[in-house]
Amino acid sequence: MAESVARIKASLRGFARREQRNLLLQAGLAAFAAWCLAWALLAAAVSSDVASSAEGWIWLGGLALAGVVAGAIPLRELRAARDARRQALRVEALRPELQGALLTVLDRETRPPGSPSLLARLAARAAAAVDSVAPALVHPAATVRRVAGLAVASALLLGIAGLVLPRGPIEALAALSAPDAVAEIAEDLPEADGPRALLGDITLRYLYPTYTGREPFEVPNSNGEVHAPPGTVVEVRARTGEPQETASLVVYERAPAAAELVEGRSVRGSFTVEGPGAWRFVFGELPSPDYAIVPDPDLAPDVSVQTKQRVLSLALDGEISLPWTARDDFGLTRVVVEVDEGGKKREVEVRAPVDVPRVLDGVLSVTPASLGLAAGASAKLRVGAWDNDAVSGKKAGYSSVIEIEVLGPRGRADRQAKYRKLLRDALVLVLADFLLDPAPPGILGAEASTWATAAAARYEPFDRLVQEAWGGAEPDTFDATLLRALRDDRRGLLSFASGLGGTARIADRDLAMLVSLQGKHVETVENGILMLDQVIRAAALATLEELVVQAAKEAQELKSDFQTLDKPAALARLDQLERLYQQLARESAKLDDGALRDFVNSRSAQVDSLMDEIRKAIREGRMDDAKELMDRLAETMQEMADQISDMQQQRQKSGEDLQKAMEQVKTELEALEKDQSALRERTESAREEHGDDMQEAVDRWKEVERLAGVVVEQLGKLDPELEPFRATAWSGGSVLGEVRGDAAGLHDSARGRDLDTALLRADQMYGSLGMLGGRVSAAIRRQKGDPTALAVSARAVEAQQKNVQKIRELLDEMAQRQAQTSPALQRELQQMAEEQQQIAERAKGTAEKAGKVAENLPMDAPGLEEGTRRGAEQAGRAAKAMRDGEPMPAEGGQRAAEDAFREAQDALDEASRNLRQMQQASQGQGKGEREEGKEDGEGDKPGDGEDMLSQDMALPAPEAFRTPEEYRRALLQGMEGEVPEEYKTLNRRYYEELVRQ
Amino acid sequence: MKSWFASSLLLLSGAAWGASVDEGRACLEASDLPCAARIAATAGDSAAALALRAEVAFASGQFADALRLLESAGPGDEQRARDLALYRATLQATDGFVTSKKGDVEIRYLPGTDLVLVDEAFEALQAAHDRIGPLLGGAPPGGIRMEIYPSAERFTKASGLPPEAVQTTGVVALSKWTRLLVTSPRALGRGYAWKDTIAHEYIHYIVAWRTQDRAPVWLQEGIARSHESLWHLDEPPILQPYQQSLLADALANDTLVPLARMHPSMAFLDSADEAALAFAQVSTMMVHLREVAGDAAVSAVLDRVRVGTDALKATADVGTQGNVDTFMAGWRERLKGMHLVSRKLAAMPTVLGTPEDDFGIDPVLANRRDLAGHARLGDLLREADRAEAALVEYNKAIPDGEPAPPTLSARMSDALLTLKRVDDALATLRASVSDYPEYASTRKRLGSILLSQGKPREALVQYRASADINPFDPDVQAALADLYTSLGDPSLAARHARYRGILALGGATPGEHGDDG
Repeated sequence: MAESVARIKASLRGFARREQRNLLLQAGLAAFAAWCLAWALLAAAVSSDVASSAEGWIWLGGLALAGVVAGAIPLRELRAARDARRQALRVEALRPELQGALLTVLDRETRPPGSPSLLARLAARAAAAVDSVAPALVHPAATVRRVAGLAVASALLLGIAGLVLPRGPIEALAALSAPDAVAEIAEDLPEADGPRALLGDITLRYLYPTYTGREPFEVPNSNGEVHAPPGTVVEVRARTGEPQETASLVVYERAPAAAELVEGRSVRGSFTVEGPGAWRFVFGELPSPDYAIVPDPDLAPDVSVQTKQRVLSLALDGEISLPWTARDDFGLTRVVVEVDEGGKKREVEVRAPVDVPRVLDGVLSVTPASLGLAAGASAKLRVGAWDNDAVSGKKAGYSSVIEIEVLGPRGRADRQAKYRKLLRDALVLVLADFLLDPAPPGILGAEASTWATAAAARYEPFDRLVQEAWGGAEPDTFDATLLRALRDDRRGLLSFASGLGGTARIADRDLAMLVSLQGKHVETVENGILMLDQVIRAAALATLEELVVQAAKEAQELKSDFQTLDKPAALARLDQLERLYQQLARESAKLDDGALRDFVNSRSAQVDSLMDEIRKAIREGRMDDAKELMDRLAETMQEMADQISDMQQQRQKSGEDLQKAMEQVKTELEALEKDQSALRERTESAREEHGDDMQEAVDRWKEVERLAGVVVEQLGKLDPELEPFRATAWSGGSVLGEVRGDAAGLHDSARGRDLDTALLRADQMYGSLGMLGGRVSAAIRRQKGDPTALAVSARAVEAQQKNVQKIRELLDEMAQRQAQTSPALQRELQQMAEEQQQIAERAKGTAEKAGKVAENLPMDAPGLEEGTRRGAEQAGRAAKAMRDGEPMPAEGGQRAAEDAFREAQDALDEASRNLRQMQQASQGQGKGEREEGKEDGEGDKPGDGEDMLSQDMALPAPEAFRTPEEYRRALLQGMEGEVPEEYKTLNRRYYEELVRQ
Repeated sequence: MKSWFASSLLLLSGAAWGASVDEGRACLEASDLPCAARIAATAGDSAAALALRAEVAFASGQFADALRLLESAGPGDEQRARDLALYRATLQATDGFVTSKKGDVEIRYLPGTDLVLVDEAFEALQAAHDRIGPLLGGAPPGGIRMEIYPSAERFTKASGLPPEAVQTTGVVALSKWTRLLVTSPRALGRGYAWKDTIAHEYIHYIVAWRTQDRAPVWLQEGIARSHESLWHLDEPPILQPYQQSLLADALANDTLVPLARMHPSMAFLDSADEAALAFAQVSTMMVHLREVAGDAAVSAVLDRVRVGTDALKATADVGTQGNVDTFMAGWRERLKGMHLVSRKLAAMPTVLGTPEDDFGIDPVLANRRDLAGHARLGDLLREADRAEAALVEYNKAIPDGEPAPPTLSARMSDALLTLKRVDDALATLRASVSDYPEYASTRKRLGSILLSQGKPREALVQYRASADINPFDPDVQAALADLYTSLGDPSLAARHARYRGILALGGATPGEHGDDG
């Protein structure tokens, strides 16, 4: 043991020495670099007269200080480098397998050891690991090299300054330390050309052109240079050094114009800025210095579009959705979209604002059809904005060009099919890796974090495809639904795994969560692949059927005509048929379906052989044999067509059967919900009629339900505040998730009036809230994250803990004072119990059917079977409570059953919508796909892959209204109803804008 | 081929001249076609006589004549209307058929790839006559006609059965109207043991004749099922694992199908599982009968049934001196002694026509689309050259507590072969063949691996079994041709090479034609 510790210490001392050496080198080199850099700057300052000998010692002191400061920074670490624990931490980071053993050995050396033998083993292991680490690995010289590079660069810069600047580094030092040097150099400067009248106190007053909307602007103590847009009238006032008798103003070297001279020394004149040039006063023969006129150009508007896609391929009715922004110095009058179709340009107006804003933005929402493009056309689009320049004429600025390719229905379907296949194949590779991952991927935080990084990289090819595939089109298809599900699930898994980073062992609960998320993600990827695959296969089969039927028809015609054809004509027709068949074979090669491909291939072999035999028979003059073979060929092709058509019909039938089953389940769920609701109302009526003494319990339950709702809501709001910590070692995310789950459960139990479960959940919840509060407090103590946000979180958690405590008290009271049910109410409940039991039995049957439907759906339908089963259970619970004469649990069970039936219906509706979208996608009906999405009230969204997945909202343009007041009213009216959160945000923004104005 | 019906013709002497139309119809019901034909020829020109002649023509396979005769008989009762519809449907279903004849056996089929069935169909019928006929007390007179229907649609049309009944119970062949109606194995996605089925239907034909059609369905099916493989085997084979599992389950839960429920046809039972259980029950009853009373027992039962004895009573008379309970108890004891496989296995679906996809022919995956999804994912992973990941998905597709479905075993073996795990691939396929013996594709893959391992005789067994289920696979026919050549059987090698050629040309045989085609 002692020997191991000694070895460790010796190694650690070696590491410390190396670190100290590195730090000293860094300090020296940094000081040198800083000194060179500062010296070069000093030379520049002296050359440009910024630095003078008056402040010479200050400058020189600054130069010296720069070197000292730069050198001192690395030296601060010099003492700390001697710390063995610091070196040990470095080694632990390099050898994660040590799992803290090295630190433990060091710590235990100073404190009484627990188990000496264990410590000895640990020490031996740590010593071996430390021995295997080279000092250069612990403290690489990379930083030293970088600083050395900086020093060399600074030295070079200093050298260049010496060559380029009028006063080199040496002269600059001399100038600062010896005042006379400046004078000596000044004597070397060239003299001015001729005498000039001195002017002082120059004041310029600019009167801008009206279109700029700018107020007059005065510049006192000006250096005389004029900076203004053309058309600006400039009024100049100045005082002369000596009294003068006459004054005139010369502008742009034109004939002198009169200038006003007051009391011999105040001179005044004005001119209009037309372009670059100069002005001066002239006093008799003596001119003032020339002053430059520098026109500020009124540049064309700056226009940009926000999209990552520069090439969009979309259908004639596909929406181009491009967010754009236009800015101009003085105002915008029009925004257009310019369409350049084969060199022929035309403009379509996008906006014509009622006022002249300097900044305008919006989302360009047009379709190729609305731009006058036809299917198959390609064009270049750019957004243009016109300014309001009334002097030199209105100018337009344009965004970068977006190329669009307009696909016909077939082209669009082909494109989608191509990308779907690519996406599926890319996802298959992603799945392969996830399937072979160990679960969990590691037991240390660092391992999980490393795995998350690698897992994220698996998606790169897939993400690229998504970007390519959805340039500006169709965000509402099933593909988009699928991609959103994938993205959300992926984020959940990877951010959780990343957040576990650190050298510590992952807590068991987090490990379980990680494994669960891994499994769930695999399921999501599998589901995505199968959905894409189903669409791809259905589309491929449809194409194949079309071709096979055509080929069979051609073969039948050839068979009919065969007797009447001479040899060359027969061979020619056979060639024609073969070409068609080859096209079919090429299509079938694209099939990715084992049995179907095998089937087509085997038939292809038959057809090839038959065609060869027919040719041979014709050439040899065996026309009877050729005829027989031709008959067989026609029959073979017909059989093939029939079989593929059968397959299609089978698929269609399966789809129809599934649809019918879904409709049946839907009908049953609706009836269950309705019947359950009616029975609950009757139960409530009975309780109200016969259960006067129940009111107290009713009120308590209502209060518990309300409080549980508050807890759920407040914890939901807590999430964004704790979100930043998920990415750190603090794993509050999972604790928060658990607390939220408990809260939802508590709320469900309260709604279900399930006293025992509610009590249990309230107790659990109280504990888990305490744990969450502890985590937040720990984060505050360790100063992890934003202290303000953490303090808010801590207060919110505390408040919810109080609410849960209140719930516990209410539940306890109810448990102690179970109300007695009146005999009349008991009788009535028992009479209704049979009816309730029937609902439970019906629900069980429906759950079986829902399970079958879920089994046959190509996608997950979360909540369908589970919801129906839960409904059945709750209905059964209600029936039992009714038989026992307990109205409150009965009502609760009935309410919970209703909720569950509704949830199952929602799940079924969602699955049904996805299925319809998939079916339409299989048929390549892009238009239908998009319109399908719109049925559900989803708006159109911007076009690139990432944007496609977001839910941007757009306000109507103000100019669509006659007055700003109408616009404001329309906005306010729009906000009156229930609106999504995004609209509320827009509303807030609108008011913020008003305040700013 | 020897004229094996010639001996039966001696039995026709009992028929009387000038007998009534009813007697002629009784001959038909007793599957005595020569008797019916003689009576019809002398029955006069009444509508009833014309109808009888039409029935005789129909039973003789002269469908156009049958239709013409029945139409000339004029409108009659509902039965005549039904017969007219049936004759028309049969005429359509057999449109384009050609006939091959050997001795008194006629086989009708549609020219094309079904030609590969004809030789072996003749052989199976001949063997059934020679080996099974004596066990049942002889074969009916007048030869036999068999039709091979190329598609489910044609078979269903000619059978007069509702399509749903065909799909539900897996009926692919019938013995009816003194003819055998058989569906070509190519009409089923996975093929089937079609030669045993021919023998099975032929047994029905014999039993109907021997009992004057008095045998109840359970006895008919019991005899047919227990004897159907005796045309090429000496003893009935052990029940298939699937049937064993059904029997074991039914015995344990006392859910055996009552004999009465098997009337009027197994085709009308509730499900394919129930029909399979019923077949297993009655088949094992007949095996038990032969074991307790000897090879002549079944013939003796038929004699008793012919004279009106209740079938179960007749069975007990022959098997246990008339004590039905003792017979049934003995049968149950025998079943218990069989150590039936009790693990859960699914029924092979009868998929007439092209299945919806790869899994439509699978007993498990056809009904479990969730599991089929995993199998499909495995396929995609395998095609992406990720065999190890594919195996993970394939394993997910195995239902809990059940062996791997057959279509899955074939895929798993492919993935295992990619990973060079040949022994695992072999073990997977052997297990699958044991659980699901009637799956041609598994046997073909197994044969292929055995061949690659230099085991031609074992490979031959598997390829042969594969061809017996699905003779339309040109690869299997080619492999058989090569194997027979290498094992020194040029005759069979030539036959399978010819089949390979027929299949290559989609059934075209320039210069060769059916007997009347």
